[in-house]
Amino acid sequence: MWIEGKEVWKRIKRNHTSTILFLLPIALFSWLVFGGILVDASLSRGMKKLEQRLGADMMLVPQGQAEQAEGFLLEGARGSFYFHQNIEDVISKMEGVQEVTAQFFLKSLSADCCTSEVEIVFYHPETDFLLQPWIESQIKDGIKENQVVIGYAIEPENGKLRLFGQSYDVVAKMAETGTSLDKSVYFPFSALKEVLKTAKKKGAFLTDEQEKEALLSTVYINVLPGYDTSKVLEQCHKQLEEPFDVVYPRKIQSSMGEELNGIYTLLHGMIWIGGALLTALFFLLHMIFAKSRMKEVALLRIFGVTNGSIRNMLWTENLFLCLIGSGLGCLFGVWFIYPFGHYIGMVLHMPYLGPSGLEMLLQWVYTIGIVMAVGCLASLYPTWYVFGKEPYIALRKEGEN
Amino acid sequence: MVVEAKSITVQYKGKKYPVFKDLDIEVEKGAFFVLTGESGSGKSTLLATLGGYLTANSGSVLYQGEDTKQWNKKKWADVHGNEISYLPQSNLFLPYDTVLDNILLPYRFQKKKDLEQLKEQANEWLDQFGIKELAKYYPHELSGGEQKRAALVRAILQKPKLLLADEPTTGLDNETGEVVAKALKELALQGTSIIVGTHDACVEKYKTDGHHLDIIKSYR
Repeated sequence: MWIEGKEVWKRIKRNHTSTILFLLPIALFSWLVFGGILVDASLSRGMKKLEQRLGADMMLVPQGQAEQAEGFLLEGARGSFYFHQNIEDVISKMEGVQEVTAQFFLKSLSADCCTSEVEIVFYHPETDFLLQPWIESQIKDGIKENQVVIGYAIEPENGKLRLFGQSYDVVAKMAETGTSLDKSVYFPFSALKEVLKTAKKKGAFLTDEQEKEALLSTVYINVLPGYDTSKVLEQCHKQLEEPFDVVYPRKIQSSMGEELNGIYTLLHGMIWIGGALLTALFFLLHMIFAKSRMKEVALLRIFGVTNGSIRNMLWTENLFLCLIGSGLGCLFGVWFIYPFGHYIGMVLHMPYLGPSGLEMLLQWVYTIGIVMAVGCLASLYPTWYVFGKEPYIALRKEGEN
Repeated sequence: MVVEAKSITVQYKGKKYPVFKDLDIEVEKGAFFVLTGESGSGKSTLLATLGGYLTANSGSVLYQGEDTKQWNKKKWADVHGNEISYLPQSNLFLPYDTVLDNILLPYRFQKKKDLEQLKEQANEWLDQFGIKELAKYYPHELSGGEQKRAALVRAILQKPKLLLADEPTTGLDNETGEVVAKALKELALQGTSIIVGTHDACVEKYKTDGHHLDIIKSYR
């Protein structure tokens, strides 16, 4: 096998035209399989994480802010909108409400004082059902005022995060979501006053509402199982004095899920159709080169190279080309996915959670497997064909006797 | 006998008439046969059939008394790699291998062969044919005459029992033709049975007192 391998390697290096012509469809096919499946998996994972993180039946926001709130659900970019009443308490007493929790947003504050530009979210550790499950697994004793939980993309310095000149202990890191939620900092509501005070002291610009320490930005509601959400909404309209808009995160997620299904179908369709076309091209190339290959094979047979050795050479060459081609295709896929992955998510308005190194490696192995299977299948007939004629017939020129 | 053909007939697919019919031929050890005839008379076909590169439609080819019909592909590969050599009409080389690697082609796939020793021998032959410096070149970088000499080195390197040479001097200049013919005659004197297929005009090149020359014209 070693001898055949050396021979094949020489052939691949010297036969530039055929090597390039074979490598191109293999690389393209690998790129399609590798990239397509990874983008698919990344979108799917992003969606799943977002669902887990934003799993609420209803979300109430101040009137006129529904669109901004939907944007927040999709991309995680929070707005500066506030309720001035403690509607959380009122809603929690309504019939059919299973759980309710509020959040206060401090939109992207940037100042020299801070480690990095972040979005600050204040939440109620006692009532929260969106963040808490993700945090509790890491914090045993609950969060204190001088402590923060940070999003996945934030890098603390020696376990601390500096905001408005104040240093806070990082007690936990959230799991990745693939949205700008990953660049958020989470404080308990009890720290709200103090944080706003230090922000003001450090000269950070605060809106009038932030200055007035408005009570909350949004309220998330989960209704009891089987209970009609519209009945809770009816109560809200009756009991809440402040006008509001309602957003249904689960509905948005489900419509996103449908959209995602469409994207999956498209991606898988592309993989199948592209794969079929490239397999056909691969087969065609094999057939085109089979005639000249037949002469080479005949020459080898004339000089006593066994059919077994020749077959090994043909398969080894196929293996080398598939390995190199899929390596190139996957490399191109990585190059494409890393810088453009999040861009793809943005264009599709989907949360995009990129693959890990291990996942890429596994996907590469998987891609090689598929490429090898396709490569073997496409070369099955041509490999048989090159042995189809006796050596002299294969080498004989037309009219020669 | 090194090789015997018994009543062999070869007819190509789609052709109305056989190339030759019920042909008998016997080649002894060290014999030098020259098959002459016009182009298209069947010289190459007969050489290929005797060498086992083409199967006759009927009749048998015996190699050293063994009926080759009983041989499997492995046996053929073994014989082609070690005992029967072929010098094709057109200079056939693997384009991605150097001249030296092409010369060593029959032996590179055989584990038992001492490649270093064969390399030395090949270089000696190349030197003798005046093309030693071309050993590391690729076939397309050589002229037709240089390719023919390289192909001859490949064919005679291991002193085969039977050498089948198809138009070995055709297209060569006189001087190169003489070199090739001389090498073949010397090989026959050392015991290799040689069958050369050539045009009538080239027969003179192979005549010498050193060996018996059979000229076959009526093989069709």
